[in-house]
Amino acid sequence: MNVKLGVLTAGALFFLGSQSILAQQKDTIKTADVEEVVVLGYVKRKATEVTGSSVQLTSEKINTPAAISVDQALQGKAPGVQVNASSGTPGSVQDIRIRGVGSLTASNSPLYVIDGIPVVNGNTSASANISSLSTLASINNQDIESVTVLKDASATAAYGARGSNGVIVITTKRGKKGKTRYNLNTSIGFQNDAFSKRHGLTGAEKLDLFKEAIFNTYGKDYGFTKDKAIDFMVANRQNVNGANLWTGEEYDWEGLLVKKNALSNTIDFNMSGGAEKSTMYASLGYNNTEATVIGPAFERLSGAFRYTNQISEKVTFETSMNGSWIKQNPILEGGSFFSNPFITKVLMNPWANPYNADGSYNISDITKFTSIHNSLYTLENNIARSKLIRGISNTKVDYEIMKNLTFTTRIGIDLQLNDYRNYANRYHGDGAGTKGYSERQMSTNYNWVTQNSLNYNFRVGDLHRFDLTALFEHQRNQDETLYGYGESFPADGLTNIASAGANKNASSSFTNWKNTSYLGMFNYTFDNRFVLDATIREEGSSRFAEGKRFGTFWSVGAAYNLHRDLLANVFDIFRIRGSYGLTGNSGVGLNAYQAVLAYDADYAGNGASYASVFGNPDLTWEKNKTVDAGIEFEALDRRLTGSFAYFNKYTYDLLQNVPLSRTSGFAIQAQNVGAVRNTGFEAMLGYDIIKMEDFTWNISANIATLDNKVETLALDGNGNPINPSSGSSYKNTEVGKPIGYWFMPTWAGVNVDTGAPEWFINGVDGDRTSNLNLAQRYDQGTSIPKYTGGVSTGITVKNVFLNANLYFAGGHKVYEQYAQFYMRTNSFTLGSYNGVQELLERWQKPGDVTDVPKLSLVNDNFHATSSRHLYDGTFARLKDVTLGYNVPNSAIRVLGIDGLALSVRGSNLWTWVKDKNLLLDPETSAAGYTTLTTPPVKAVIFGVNVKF
Amino acid sequence: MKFINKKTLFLAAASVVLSMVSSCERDYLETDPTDAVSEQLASGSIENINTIVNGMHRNMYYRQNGSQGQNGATGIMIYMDVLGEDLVFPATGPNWYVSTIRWLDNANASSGNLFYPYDFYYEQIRMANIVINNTPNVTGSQAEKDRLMGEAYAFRAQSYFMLVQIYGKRYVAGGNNAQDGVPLRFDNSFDPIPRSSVEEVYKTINQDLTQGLTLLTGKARSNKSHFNANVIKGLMARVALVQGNYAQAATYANEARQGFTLMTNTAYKAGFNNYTNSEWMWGYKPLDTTSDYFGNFMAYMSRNYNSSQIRQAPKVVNNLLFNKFASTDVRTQVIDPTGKHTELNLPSTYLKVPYTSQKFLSVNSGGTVDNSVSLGDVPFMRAAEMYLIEAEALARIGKEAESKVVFTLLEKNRNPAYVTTTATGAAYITEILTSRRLELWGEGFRFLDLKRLNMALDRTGANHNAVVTNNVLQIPANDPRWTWLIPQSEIDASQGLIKQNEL
Repeated sequence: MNVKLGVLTAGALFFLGSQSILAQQKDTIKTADVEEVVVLGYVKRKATEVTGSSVQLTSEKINTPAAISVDQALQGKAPGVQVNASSGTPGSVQDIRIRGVGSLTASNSPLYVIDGIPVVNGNTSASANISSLSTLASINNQDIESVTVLKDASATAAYGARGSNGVIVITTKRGKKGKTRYNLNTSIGFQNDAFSKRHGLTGAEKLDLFKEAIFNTYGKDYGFTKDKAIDFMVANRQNVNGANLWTGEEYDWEGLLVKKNALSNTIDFNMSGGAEKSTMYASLGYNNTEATVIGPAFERLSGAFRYTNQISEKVTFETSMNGSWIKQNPILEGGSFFSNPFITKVLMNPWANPYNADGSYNISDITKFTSIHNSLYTLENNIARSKLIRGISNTKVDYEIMKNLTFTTRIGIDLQLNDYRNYANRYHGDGAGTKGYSERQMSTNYNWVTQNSLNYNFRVGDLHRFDLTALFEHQRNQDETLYGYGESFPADGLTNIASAGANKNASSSFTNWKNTSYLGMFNYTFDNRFVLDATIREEGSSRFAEGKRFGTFWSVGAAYNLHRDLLANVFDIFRIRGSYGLTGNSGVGLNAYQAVLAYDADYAGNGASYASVFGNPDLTWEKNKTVDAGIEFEALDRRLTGSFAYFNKYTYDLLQNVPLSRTSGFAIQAQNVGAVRNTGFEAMLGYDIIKMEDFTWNISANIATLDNKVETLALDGNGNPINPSSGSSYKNTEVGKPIGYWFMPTWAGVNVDTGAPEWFINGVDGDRTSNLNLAQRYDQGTSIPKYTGGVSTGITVKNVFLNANLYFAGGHKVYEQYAQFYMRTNSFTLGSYNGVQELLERWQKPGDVTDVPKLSLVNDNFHATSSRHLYDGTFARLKDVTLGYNVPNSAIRVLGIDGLALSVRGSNLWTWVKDKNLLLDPETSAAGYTTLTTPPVKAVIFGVNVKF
Repeated sequence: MKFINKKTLFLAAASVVLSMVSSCERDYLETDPTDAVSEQLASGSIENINTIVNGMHRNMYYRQNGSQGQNGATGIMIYMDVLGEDLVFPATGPNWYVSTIRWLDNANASSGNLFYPYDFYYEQIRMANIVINNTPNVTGSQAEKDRLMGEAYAFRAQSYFMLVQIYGKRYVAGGNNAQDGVPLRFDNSFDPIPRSSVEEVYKTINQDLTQGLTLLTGKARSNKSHFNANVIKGLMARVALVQGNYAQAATYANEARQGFTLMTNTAYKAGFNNYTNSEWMWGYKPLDTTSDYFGNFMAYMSRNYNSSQIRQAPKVVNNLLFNKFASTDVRTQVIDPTGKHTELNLPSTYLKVPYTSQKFLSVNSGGTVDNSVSLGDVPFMRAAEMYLIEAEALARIGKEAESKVVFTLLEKNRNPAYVTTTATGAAYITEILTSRRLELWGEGFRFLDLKRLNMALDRTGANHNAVVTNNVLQIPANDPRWTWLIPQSEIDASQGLIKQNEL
């Protein structure tokens, strides 16, 4: 084996492949006898025994190139699942929305279940200001066997008070009996921004526009010409941000900050095998991914081990351990921070020289030009890193008490340690004001789940089959944080708090919650024709007041496999199914139910408490009733497959902050009042166009529609609905419309005669005004895509294969929030910072038809919130393309191995955006704002897969 | 053997299930916050009630609503002067309190600045109610219980006193004062309640102060941030002055100041930052560890703290007021007509304008003037105010000779060259009020005094900047804006019970 590995190393560094590639050939040979088994979390069912709506994706489907966490791979492959990247920084959290947005204030994220254990998911980064770090990024995709997305009540009722936002069930790989097989994947990839067309002005362009703005403002009154504009300002002691000092040399900040062909490199090795009574799977993985901007990087080491053993005829033992170590260098991308490299990229004054004459970074003279930090210097001299260590242990014992009656006990422990360290240097940037500062935060999250269940399945006669499951589950979660901070560092090289000279402080915190549930599941099948399914879960949560803790969640579902009776000639499978049920969302704050006093104040060195939460003893989870109906079919010798589903998801008892009379000492109380309805269709159709031994071609497409509507809002004391979006100048929420629809004045363009920006007074048409305050706000559409979907195709010709997946979303609008910074036509943009190329199109003389108004130093409101910066968000993107070659058996035998595959894969190679004005990446966070975060990447990845 | 093994295993497993189920009693799901304590628990012992009282004191200089301009009651102090004519802004600077100086906040029901005092004082009242209602039921020494209750009564009275002065129409001595005051709440309920009349509110204030006085009489306090009998008498003097009960006001003021001697002229020039000063009766001491940085009182009112607020918009004294005083008066010596404050060595980045005041100076924890910290104790009651109340009250009930004795004591202290005035009647009272204006400059009295005396605001002829004030130079005494609007959110939440003030 050593010899073989030695031979392979050279090639291994160059290519990537995956076990999926080999598996793929096998998959195309479907036989009518093999029935798909769907993992539903607590239970597995044959596809024909399922009444609910779920999508199961096997390992080859989720093996998306450049995806660090598995949720990134769901995009476009599971109808009804919207995946939005909050940032392209490797390891970032993905916003997942299954069948729309149901909650106004609580969580809208699905529940994650790994190997039967509900886990804590989400952002583990120390602060919302820095890059997020997804806990899911700790799981190596290569170790995942399948991912099932549970969507309707029948599928999610088993998860009771936490199933409302859908459930994502992840099953990891286990060993297969037989000879031990070794599998090695390596890849190397090159990444660039997928879609980023916003580019700043050059120094010369900026100077020209700045002069023009000065001239437009003062030239006439003070009688100077445009080329004397800077002199005029200087003479009048006005700040020109270094316009008079600029050497004329162009400094390409964008070029310096962008990392071209950012590297990604993975090596994964796993072995799988088993004897008669035991199987094992072990893996090691390494992932090193750079971002497309200098600074952030991601590194992961992961290992998994799973062992199963048939201890006796009746007892089976299974255990798995997953361990991972992640290092991420987060950047300050959560807002418009002066140290955000993306702010620097777009807004840095191009007159500022990044370097001093001696080649060192310019950090002193630069302040004459800009208040933005020299990110080149801060990224090099500051320290920012998150380290996440995660260990998951999952142990299960099955005991077959008697035939078909099995008792199972399972214990799952998930431990996450996050260590965040941040040091800001004492010379330049955020730390300069405090002579440097250093902070460190260590948090641990401990999640403990125990499950005991009994499963009994039996037949009555030949035709009636029953499957009963009873389960008890208890979960505890504890979160602890320790934080330290210090300022004033006496010397270079000292970056730990121990060396801080001033304002040291430390704090710690602890939170916990518990959950206890009793679950009963009933499944009845009659002659493989009718299926009847019922689930009931009694769930208690510590998040609510005594007496309000337990709730009952349930679902009923039925399916009819028609192909057994009526349409046997036409369809291989044809089934109709439907379900209805109640689930909940307990994603509310801890201890929100009780009136509490906070003690974090200090009164002259003594303890002091103050009122913190008003509490509401009636607080309960948000609820969700979903009707789901659908058909599924396979025909033409299983070459044609398809499904269609309709859902109507009504979420109610939504938490809203209802204002209280301030005389109570509090402004608000959380109450269960609001209601939202999401409805939609989901359709999928696939066809094997060519199905020959040496040549196959299949294509499939899916689409999901979504209609989101607020049905009830809490009322204030005067009977007026409480607007959860109140105070936003972008959005509004009202009954009868989607949650948080865009609500802003309507842009009417630039006045051809005066060059002034204009908006429609009534918000629609007709009279225009240049005074934004006089323009009415108007419904500009929703931020939630009305449809999403994907198209995928696969071709194999002999040993060559090609796969492609396309994702699309549309019907929504996205808002370019940072336009308020770089598209202003006054001194803010043209003086202090920098604008974008579009400003060159400004209005200059009567008759000019343009979208950019006349430049002026006086504030013109052009940048202010209006539909000017709101774009149609419709886009399509080629998510991944794989071109591969399975080296023929005759060739690999010479090498003494079992299989060898070479591949070139592309990620986000092509992006189409409907609105030509949308120049930033169309994939936005779920809220619909384009931001200055790391954009998604376009990657080309070379890989090799060896089996031996 | 094999059979036993299996059986044992099964039994073990089954017992695990059973133990799980049986231990799943209701307390199994009990979790308590660890950074906070439920109200029930928090009011259950005398130690916990003590921390609640501490919390009310802490709140007096704690950032409210996440706004750096709304630091406890110290931000409200600033408002009360900004609305008057004696505190002058030379520039808009970073815009803090600019809408206040333009009289926009009090007329805008949605303004956060209008909401702030309403929010702040009712928060204090809630906590005071918890203390008042729960202390009798806990075990502890009666003396300690009396102290806690006494402080809570004082807080409640002081809170209602501020609320009714800000949001109610002025108290008319001799009138029935049936005009709308503020809602009176004595428990921790939350159902909306209507506004009580101004008369009823004052009745409550007086009852609470009487209770507080009884409970605190004879009790020592650990430091000057706590209430004692003197401070309560001082509050009673203030209330009596507003209600026009001048005889009482004079008595209370006199009793209140006993034991507090007027400070020396040297101490007067030390920057008003140390509550151990002999004439300070009640004040707060923000510590290094509890600093609100840019939110501290000194971050707005000191001459030296290095913030954009103070560099770009230092606090200026009305030049007309300044000119009414002799240069031998120490109160004019903390004002620099050139604005240079040479002894402070202010950096060139500090705006220098005439008549800036260095009455307030930031000091570090060692007590030395320090531009890099915004620390400094905040005065809430000084003996000088008591002299002024006593002098004014005596003058108003015709005891002019007695009044002049008291007034001269203060004036002579401030100005060694002072000679007892020969003015009489209204002219004499005006002299007292003028002294009051400069003595209490920056300590949060001017708006309330103007309203109490039914006087118009007149900024004309002084060094006010028309751009900063937006030309708001005169407000007639009958202008509805003297009564702040009730916050719109309160109107919205009140189910129609709370009536808005007219505008």
